[in-house]
Amino acid sequence: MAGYAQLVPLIILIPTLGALLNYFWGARLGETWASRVAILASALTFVIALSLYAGLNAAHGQASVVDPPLLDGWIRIGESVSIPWQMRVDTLSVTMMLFVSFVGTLIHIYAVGYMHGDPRYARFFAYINMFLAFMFVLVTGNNFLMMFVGWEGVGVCSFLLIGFWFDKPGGEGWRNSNAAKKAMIANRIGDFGMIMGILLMFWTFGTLDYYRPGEIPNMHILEKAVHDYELEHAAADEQTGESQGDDSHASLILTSLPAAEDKGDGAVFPPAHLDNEHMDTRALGVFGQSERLLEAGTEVHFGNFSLPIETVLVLITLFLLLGAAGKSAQIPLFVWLPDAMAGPTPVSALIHAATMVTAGVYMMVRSNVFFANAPLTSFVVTVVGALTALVAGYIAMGQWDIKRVLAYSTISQLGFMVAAVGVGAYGAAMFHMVTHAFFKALLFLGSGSVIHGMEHGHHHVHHDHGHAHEEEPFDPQDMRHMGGLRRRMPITWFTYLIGTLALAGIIPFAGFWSKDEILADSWLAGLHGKDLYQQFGGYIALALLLLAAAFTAFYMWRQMELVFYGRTRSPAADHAPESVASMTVPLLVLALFSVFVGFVNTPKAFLGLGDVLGNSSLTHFLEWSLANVHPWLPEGGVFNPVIAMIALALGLSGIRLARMIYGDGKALSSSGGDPLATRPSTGAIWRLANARLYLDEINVRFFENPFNRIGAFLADELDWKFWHDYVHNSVLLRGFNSLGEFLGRPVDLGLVDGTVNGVGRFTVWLSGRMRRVQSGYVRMYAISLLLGVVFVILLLLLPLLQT
Amino acid sequence: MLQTDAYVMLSMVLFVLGAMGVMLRRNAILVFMSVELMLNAANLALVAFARQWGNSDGHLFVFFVITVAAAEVAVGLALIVAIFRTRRNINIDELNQLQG
Amino acid sequence: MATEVWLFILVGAIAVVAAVMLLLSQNAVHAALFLIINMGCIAFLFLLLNAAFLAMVQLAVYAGAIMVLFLFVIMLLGAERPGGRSPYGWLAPGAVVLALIFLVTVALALSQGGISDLQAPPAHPQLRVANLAADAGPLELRLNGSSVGDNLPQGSVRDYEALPPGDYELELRALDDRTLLSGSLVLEAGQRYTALIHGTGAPALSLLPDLAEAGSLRVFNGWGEAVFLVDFASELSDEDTIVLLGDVAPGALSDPLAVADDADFSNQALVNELDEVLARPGAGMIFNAGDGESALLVLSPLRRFEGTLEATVDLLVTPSQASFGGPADIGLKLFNQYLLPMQIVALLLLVAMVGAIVLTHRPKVAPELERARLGRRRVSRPLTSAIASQLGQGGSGQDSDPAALPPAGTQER
Repeated sequence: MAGYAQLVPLIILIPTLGALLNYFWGARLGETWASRVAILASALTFVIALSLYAGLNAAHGQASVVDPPLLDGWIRIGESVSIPWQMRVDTLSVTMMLFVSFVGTLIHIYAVGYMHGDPRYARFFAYINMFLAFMFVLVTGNNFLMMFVGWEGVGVCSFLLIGFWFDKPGGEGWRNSNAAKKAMIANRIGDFGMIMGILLMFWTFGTLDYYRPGEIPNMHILEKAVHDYELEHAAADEQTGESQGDDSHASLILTSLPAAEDKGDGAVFPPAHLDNEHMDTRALGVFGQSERLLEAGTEVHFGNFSLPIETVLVLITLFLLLGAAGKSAQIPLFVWLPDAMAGPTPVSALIHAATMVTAGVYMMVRSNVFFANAPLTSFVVTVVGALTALVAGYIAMGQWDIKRVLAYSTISQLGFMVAAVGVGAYGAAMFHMVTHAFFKALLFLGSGSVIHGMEHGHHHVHHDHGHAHEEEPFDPQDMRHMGGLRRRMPITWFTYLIGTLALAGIIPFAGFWSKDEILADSWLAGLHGKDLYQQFGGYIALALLLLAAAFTAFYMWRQMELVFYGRTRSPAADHAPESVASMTVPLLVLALFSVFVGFVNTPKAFLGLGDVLGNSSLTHFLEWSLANVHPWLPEGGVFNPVIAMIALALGLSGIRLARMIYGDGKALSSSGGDPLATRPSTGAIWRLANARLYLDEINVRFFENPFNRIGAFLADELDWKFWHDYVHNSVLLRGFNSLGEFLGRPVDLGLVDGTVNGVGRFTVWLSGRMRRVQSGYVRMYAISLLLGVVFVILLLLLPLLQT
Repeated sequence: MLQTDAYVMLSMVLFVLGAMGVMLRRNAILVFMSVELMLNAANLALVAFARQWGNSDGHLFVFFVITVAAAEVAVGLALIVAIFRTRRNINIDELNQLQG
Repeated sequence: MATEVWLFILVGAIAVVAAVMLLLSQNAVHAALFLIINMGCIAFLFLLLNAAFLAMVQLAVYAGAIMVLFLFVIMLLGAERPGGRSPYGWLAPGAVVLALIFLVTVALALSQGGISDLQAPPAHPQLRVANLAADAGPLELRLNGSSVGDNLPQGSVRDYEALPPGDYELELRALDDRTLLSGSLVLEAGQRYTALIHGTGAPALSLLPDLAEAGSLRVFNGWGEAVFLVDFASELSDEDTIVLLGDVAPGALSDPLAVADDADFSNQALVNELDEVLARPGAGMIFNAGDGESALLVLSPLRRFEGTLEATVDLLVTPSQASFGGPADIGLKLFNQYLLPMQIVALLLLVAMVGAIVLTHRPKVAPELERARLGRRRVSRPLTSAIASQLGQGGSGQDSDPAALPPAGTQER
């Protein structure tokens, strides 16, 4: 058990090495070896994550803080600023590591087939390995700055990967690189919030560490665990004591409870302290400090003015919310995520399921202490998340692009998670993140399989017909060209169906459990919330999220109908083949998990299944890291049959509705449009969804165009006309010319040149005289020497002669 | 004990005679010999002062002077031989090619 | 004294005359011979100045090696009388006047300087520390706070160390920094001292001035009763026993005893009043009176394991100091203080040797041929042909100015 946490640097190091290897030697390795290196690196991270999980269980869930060797500290300025490169192995980070590495590995395997034949094959694997490495930096760091390093790192990798096909012909490459830029810029806005939050945090607390080594995040769970442990050992001792006789009883108790030896990484059980009271306030991490400062009601001084700590926390959390909105694609910064579909499909899967977008939610869950103590922000978070879930779900209903539907679906589901954070259900947010990672990866990879099949079918058709001329524009992602793919691609259809049901929240698939927990928690927050903000937020979240859940079921089943059922609507779809094994096997594995992964957190209350499947295991696991998993909830997990039934009914009715509208060959109206669009009652609603609520247009009109106009004004009028033409020409140029004239004629020609020439002439004259001294006659030199000697001696003798 | 003054005075006389040799003679070898005479005169003064101070460091200096003089003579005579080979003459008044 | 003056006047006069003849002689061989005479005289003057070693070096190196080289070169070149006239007629009288001015100046300086009044500062006193205390264990002796013998074990003697003359505060410390003894002592310039730590129980310190006379032997009695140094010619009878030094009281130092050159201590013993032998120095203890050494015989108690005291004897030899100007003196300084300059001078000699060889080396190829060879290589053939071909091809172009690049043939020389 001891020292297992020392493995954690490897989880960053191995994918980094893989990335470097592929980056520098990938071209020489060839496709087979490049992918093998990348997959091996990724799989090793999963193995490490598993061993970390095992070690963490052995340590009774206690967190460890690891100082990686060779990295002695990181940023250290004098005594006051010390930001170590410390890595934190706790239940939260290990949960993240587990599903990130697992899903990431499956995506790597999938990409072997998907990216086959790409000219920059090895480069792609280098990037996704790097993506994983930065994601692990993000989740394993023990301070916000390390998180920020990973945060920016995944940003860079997403930029590289979204714009991976920047060189595609026919304007597509240009669109791809624009999408990459869009992601980068939208994230910059979020990063501004993130870094402001970090700076404010550092100003307030003087540190960025989450928890210092030895600090206990959640004392209640620790006390409980120690209590259980002692009871268990006492029971065991009684048994052994009886068998050995009474004499050794006392000593056995002493020895059977192993003395806590401090290894410095906090992995000792039972720990020396059951609370943080022995630690000085300044010696605590940011979260511990914030609670102490709240208790003391401290004012934080900012130069001339000061703010109470509550206000500062609200500010910090609002900034962090802005950061999370950028990374996790919330209103108003979600515009980049649908465009991020420009990248290869494995990248979309990676971004949506495992790595990038989860970062924002992870950060907020990590900062649960802040959010729990900032009710105003929590309310804002709830509203933002729930609105995002609803709006994105609404937009998803009107899209034609298979991946774009999924992208809005991701935004919607992220909205669920953010709303869960807002209502204080941090465990539920993490739970939904985990389940969502599986079924969303499944859906994306499935859609990639469909697209792949469509492309192959398209090529096949054109090859058969012997068309030598360039292909007409064909969008393999447009669902209008699909239909009836169930027979062509049975495995893809089957797994996609499972993913759809899981996402729609149909029992017993994964999404049902996690979504229901969020809904139930929202209800409880409305019921038992500790202030008006929370209660109000809980009800809002419940209402909006229920609606969003219905939307989810509807648009997903619409997609199923458009893609897999009905008649084929293009020759490409007629000839679309099933994908290769390296693509379908990950689909099957993910489908399996999408069915069962929900059971990791099944509530005990549900039909007594808790006895079989464990009682909210994930939540209890996370309790070790989170001080506020669900602060007001009773023991035994969350299950509310009424809400679950309502959600299930809404989901099923969404599916039913979609079937009614799109099923039975009515997928497209006679004009080739959506059936909804042709009905007068729903046409406007559908067109609004199809146009994505005109958000891009709003952006262009209200932000981009004014910005461009201001930029043009600054560039043309202010910079060029005023500064260049007027100031440069009349002020600077004329002044410079007259000054140069003055310096040139009287000063330079008269004074400087005169002096220099005079010196030169004098030197010539002097040397002409002096060269005569150099006669070349040695005896002359000897006489001169002696003359000099006599002179010097006389000089020395002068004081002596005067006396 | 004879006073150091006398030795120093003798040394000075010899030094001046050597210096006059350097200045007056035109034969390069004789100039060289005069230089040796000057060195000897200086050595004499050094030894005389060494006795005066009771410190044998002066003797060490004389030792080094003799050694350096030996090196100097070796190189100097080699130079003279080399010059004689090309010029067939060692009159230093005619060796004034390096004048400015 | 008179002899020295007369010798000086005689030899100095010869030296001056030889130098004048060197100046005046027209024949280079004669001049060289006069220089040899002059050098011999200077070697003699070195002898008068207590510089025997240098006198020998002067004769061997100067008069021997160097002057032979001179004569050899004169003979080799056969250029005894350079002809022609000096271009500077005023040079000779000018040089004479200048030399006279110089002489007058220096004479003036000498008369004013008062060189003979200068006196050498006396040498620093030297001190050695000997720990012969019975019970004290390792000790540290501090003078004015700085250590002169640190962690000095029982029975060991620290070598002489030069210290500035003056008054010193003395402090004797045990290893655990306990102060065992404190007091003061005076070190006078030019003297050598032995600081002798002795006694049972709390140690005592005696500062003994060492004698400079060669062959003097003294006895220091650190034992509890009066002792005698006796010499018994034969082991068998007591009759021919000679008392060399008698009745040295406890803690006292005896008068010096003159010892023959080859004295050893095979027959001597230290006895008490009852003629009981306390200790025998033994044949191993030797000092060479002939080399100018003197010695101090110390009788001190030594604590046995069983706790009883036993007398032991130690011989502290004072080595002689090298005589001024002798080979030993010069050699000692050369290899201690002047090692680096000596090595540099040796290197210089080596370089001079190589330089002389290089300078007189006659190249095999005639210089004219060599110059011609170098001249040809000044512009390489391929380059000139390349330029020529460039000119030939680019002749019609406007950029190539024929005047800028001369034809290939003119590039040479």
